[in-house]
Amino acid sequence: MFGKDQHIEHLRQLPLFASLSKKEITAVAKASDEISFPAGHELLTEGESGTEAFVVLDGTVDIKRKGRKIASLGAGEIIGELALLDHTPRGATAVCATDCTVLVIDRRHFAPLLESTPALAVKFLQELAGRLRALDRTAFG
Amino acid sequence: MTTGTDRPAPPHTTRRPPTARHVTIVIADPRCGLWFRRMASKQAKIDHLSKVPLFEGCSKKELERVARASDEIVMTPGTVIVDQGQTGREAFVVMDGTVVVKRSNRKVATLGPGDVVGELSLLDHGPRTASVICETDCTLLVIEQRHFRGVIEEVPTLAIRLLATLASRIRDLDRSYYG
Repeated sequence: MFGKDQHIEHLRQLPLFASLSKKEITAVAKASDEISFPAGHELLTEGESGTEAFVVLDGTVDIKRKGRKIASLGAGEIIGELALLDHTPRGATAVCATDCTVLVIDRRHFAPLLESTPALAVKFLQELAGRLRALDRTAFG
Repeated sequence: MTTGTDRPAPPHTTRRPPTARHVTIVIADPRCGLWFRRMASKQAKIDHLSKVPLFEGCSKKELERVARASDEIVMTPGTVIVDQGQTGREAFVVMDGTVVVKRSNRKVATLGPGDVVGELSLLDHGPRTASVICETDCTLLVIEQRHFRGVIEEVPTLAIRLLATLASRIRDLDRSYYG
């Protein structure tokens, strides 16, 4: 088990949450739960709808698209965060490559937080804008 | 009663009879030719905003906040509102009409009422990723950079809508790129 303080530390390391105040990041930590999964467990499945994002606390998660592995993520990385924002099916599958401990953030808890914490919404918007621009550059050159 | 500069409009602009107490015409940006800024009455503007899908779910107070921070402008076909590679100073919401999105002179999309244009540059201060040109006569809502952040901070409903818009654009691009 990781304590709440460690959850906060992990969350703070994510660019998404880096600039939040102590109070705001504590609220995000409160809205999340720590869960452990065995190797081989599917955290999310391409094409299926989902409402959760996962922050990897320990272990490795493989990201696959159409059965092909496209990335491998470790401690301190976030998976499935777009599902916190819209209701579109998952764009990829995430499978635990090792035994994993993750922090689960559910949209049900996160949505009210977004509404009450403008800084979080703005930070999220900026982060998505940066990602969109990077994708845009790779896609269109 | 104060009246604005009430000059006769040039023949190429259609002017509806003014419903507001006063009508002001402002030349806002010489780069884009003439921008005719119509100061509609506050209530008319809020009514108009409430019909745009982007602002669906916004409370009356939130709509008032958006109205205060934005201007409604009318543009003629062919007007370039966003210029690829340039620094962005404003975001637009299409209220009426259609605009064409072009990347390196190739048309990539057509957008219509409710669509947002140019918010990316205001969020990350990077250059415009595409050009946007009015295809028809367009009514646009302009939010300038200095008001944008305040609006998204104070209108959570809008921030959340924008987040969903960005998320779906990321998914689309992602899919088109990685297949």
